Amino acid sequence: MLDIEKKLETLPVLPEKVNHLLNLNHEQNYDTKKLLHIIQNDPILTTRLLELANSKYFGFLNPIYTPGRALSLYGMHFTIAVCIAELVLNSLKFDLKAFGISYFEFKRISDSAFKLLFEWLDETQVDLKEKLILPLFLQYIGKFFISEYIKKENKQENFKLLLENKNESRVEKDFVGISSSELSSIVLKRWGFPQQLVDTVFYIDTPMFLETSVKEVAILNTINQITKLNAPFEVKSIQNGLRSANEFDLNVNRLRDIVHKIEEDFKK
Amino acid sequence: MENMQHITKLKEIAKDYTILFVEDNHELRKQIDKFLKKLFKEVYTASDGVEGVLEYKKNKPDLILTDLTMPNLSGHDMIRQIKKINPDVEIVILSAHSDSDTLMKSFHIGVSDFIAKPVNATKMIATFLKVLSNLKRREFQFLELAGQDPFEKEIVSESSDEKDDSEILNFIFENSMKIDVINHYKGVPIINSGKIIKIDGDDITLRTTHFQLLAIKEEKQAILDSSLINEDIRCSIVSMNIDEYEVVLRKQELFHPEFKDRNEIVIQPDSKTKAYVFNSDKERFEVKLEAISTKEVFINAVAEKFTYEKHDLIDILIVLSRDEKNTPIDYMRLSSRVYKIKQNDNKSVSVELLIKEKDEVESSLERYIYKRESELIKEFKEKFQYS
Repeated sequence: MLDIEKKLETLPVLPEKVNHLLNLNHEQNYDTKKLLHIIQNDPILTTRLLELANSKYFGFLNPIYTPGRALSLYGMHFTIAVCIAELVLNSLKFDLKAFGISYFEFKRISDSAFKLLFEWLDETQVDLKEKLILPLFLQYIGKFFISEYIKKENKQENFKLLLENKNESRVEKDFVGISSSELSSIVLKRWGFPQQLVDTVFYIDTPMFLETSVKEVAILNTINQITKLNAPFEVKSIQNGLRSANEFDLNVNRLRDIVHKIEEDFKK
Repeated sequence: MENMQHITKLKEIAKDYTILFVEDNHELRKQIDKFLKKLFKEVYTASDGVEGVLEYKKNKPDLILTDLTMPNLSGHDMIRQIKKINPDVEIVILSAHSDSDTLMKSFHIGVSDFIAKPVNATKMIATFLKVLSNLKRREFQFLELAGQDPFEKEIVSESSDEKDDSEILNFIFENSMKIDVINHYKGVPIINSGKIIKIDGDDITLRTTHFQLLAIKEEKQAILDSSLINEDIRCSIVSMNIDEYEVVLRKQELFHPEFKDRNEIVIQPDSKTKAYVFNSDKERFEVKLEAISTKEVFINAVAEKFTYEKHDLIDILIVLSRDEKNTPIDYMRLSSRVYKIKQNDNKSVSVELLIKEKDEVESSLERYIYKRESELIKEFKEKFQYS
C-alpha cells in the first residue's frame, strides 16, 4: 500500500504566493492592486490568465493582452482561484500515466469540467461557482501520487483494466488503500488550505456522508462522473452524472442541455 | 547586512525577556513557537483567549503576541482581561484582518503593534525590536528614577561582527523559513519558494516545487533570495532527487540582485522578430535583436555599419510580424539612446539602447512582452513539464 506518511514528508514546498492569494481571498476589502502585482510579477500566472482569457471556453469577444484587463473582466475570486490552482498543479510532478492520460488530455478534460461547472450553475450562483473552482482542480492531485505508485509497483495494466469497468474511487482504494480525492484532501490539509476546501475535496466521491453543503459537493460529484478521466462524455459517464444530479435534486434539465453542448465541443 | 544586525540585536535584547504566544492554528503556533524560542528567554503558548489569560496569570510574561480570531475568547477580549491585570504589558497582535476598524479597536485597548498575516520574518523581527527597545528604555528610565546605574544591567554587546551569509542561511534553515528560488528561461523569470532542509558547508539541500526543479535542471544553477539578505546567492547544481522535490546546490557567489520587478524583465524575442536601425529617414540596416524590456533594447550589429557612439540618439524599428507578402503588419518604431557598446570582435558589436519617449510605445511594448513571455512559458512547459 502507498506510504502516505512518507509522501506527506516529502511534499514540495508550496509557493508563498499561495498564502498571499488565500489571504487576499478572505480580506473584506478587495485589494486588486496587490493581486495584480502578484500576477504581473509571475510570468506563469500571467500566462495562465491570458491563456484562459483568450480560450474558446472562457475567452471574451476581443483579444485580451494584459493580465490587468483579464482581472477586471473575471473579477477577484475567479482570478485568485485560477492562480492558486495553477501554482499547486505546477508544484507537483504531473503524472496520470496509470490512468492512461497525457497532460494535454488532462487539460482538455479538466477545462471541460470547468466549463460544465460554469454553464450549469446560473448567474444567481456566481459565488458558488467561484467557491467550487479550487476543489474542482485540486481534487486531481491525489491521482498524481496514485499513478506514480501504480507505475512503481508495475500494476498499470491491471489498474487500467479495472478502471474501465468499475467505480474509479473503488479501484483506487483497492490498489492503494485510499481514494484520490481523500488523498488530495490530506495533502491540502498538510499544506494548510482552509478546512472547508479540505472537506469538500474529501467528500467529492461521497457527498451523501456530509452533514452540510451536500448539494455543493454533489455538483462536483456529478461533473466528475460526466468528465470521468478515462471516459469523458461517454454515454455511460453522462448517464451516471445525470443519475447523480437527480439523486441530489440538482437541476437535471439544465445539466442535460449543457452537457449536450459541451460534449459536441469536446469531441470536435 | 542590515537584517543580520537586526537579528543579532534582537537576540541580545530578547534573551532577557519572556513572551506568551496565543494562536489557535496548531501548525502556525508550532512554527512561530520554534522561531520565538531562538530569541526569547522563555516562550509560553496558548491555543485560545481563555488559555491565554490563564497562562498570563501563571507566568506573567513581559510581552504577548496574539492572534485576534480565536475560539472561546477572542483576542480583543483576552487583551481587555489581561490589561486589567497589568495595564503596562506590551501586546503585539498577529492577524489577517488589517482593516482600519480592527486596528483602531486594537490600539484603543492598548495594543503596542501589529503584524499582518502571512507572517513575514523581517516584519516580525522589526516589530519585536521596536517593542522590546521601548520596554528596555522604560526599564532604564525606571532604574534611573530609582537612583540605580542602568548600565550595570546593560549587557547588550556593542560589537558589530560582520556576519556572513552562512549565518543567515542557517537562521533561515533553523526557523523553517521559506526562501525564493530564482531561475530564468530565455530571460523569463521563474520564481518559487524553497525550504532549506540541510546545510553542509557550501552545499545547500533545498525542497521546492517541481516546476522550479525543471528550471534549475535546465539552467544548471539557481539564485537564492531572501528578504533577510541584501545580496542574492548564485549556486550551481550538485544533484537532484526529482521524486522528493529536492535539489543540492553549491554556493558560488554573492551578488546584488539585478531585478525583482516586472519592468526589468529582459526577454529574448523569437527568431521572426526583426530589428532595423535608421541611418536617416530613408536608410536603415538590419541588426540582430538579442533581448528587449520595457526600458531597453539589446542588439548585435555589424561593426562597420554601426558608427554610433555612447549617448547618440538613434531610431530603431522592431518588426513583430509580417503578412504572407512579407509586409510588416505589427511593428514599433522606438527612439533610443546608446548606453553601452561592446566590441565583440572586428566584425560585430553588442549594443544596449535605452528607450526614450517611453509613453508613446509603452502599451505596445508591454503587450509585446506579455505575449512573448507567455510564448516562452508555454515553450518551457511543452519542452520540460509535459514531456
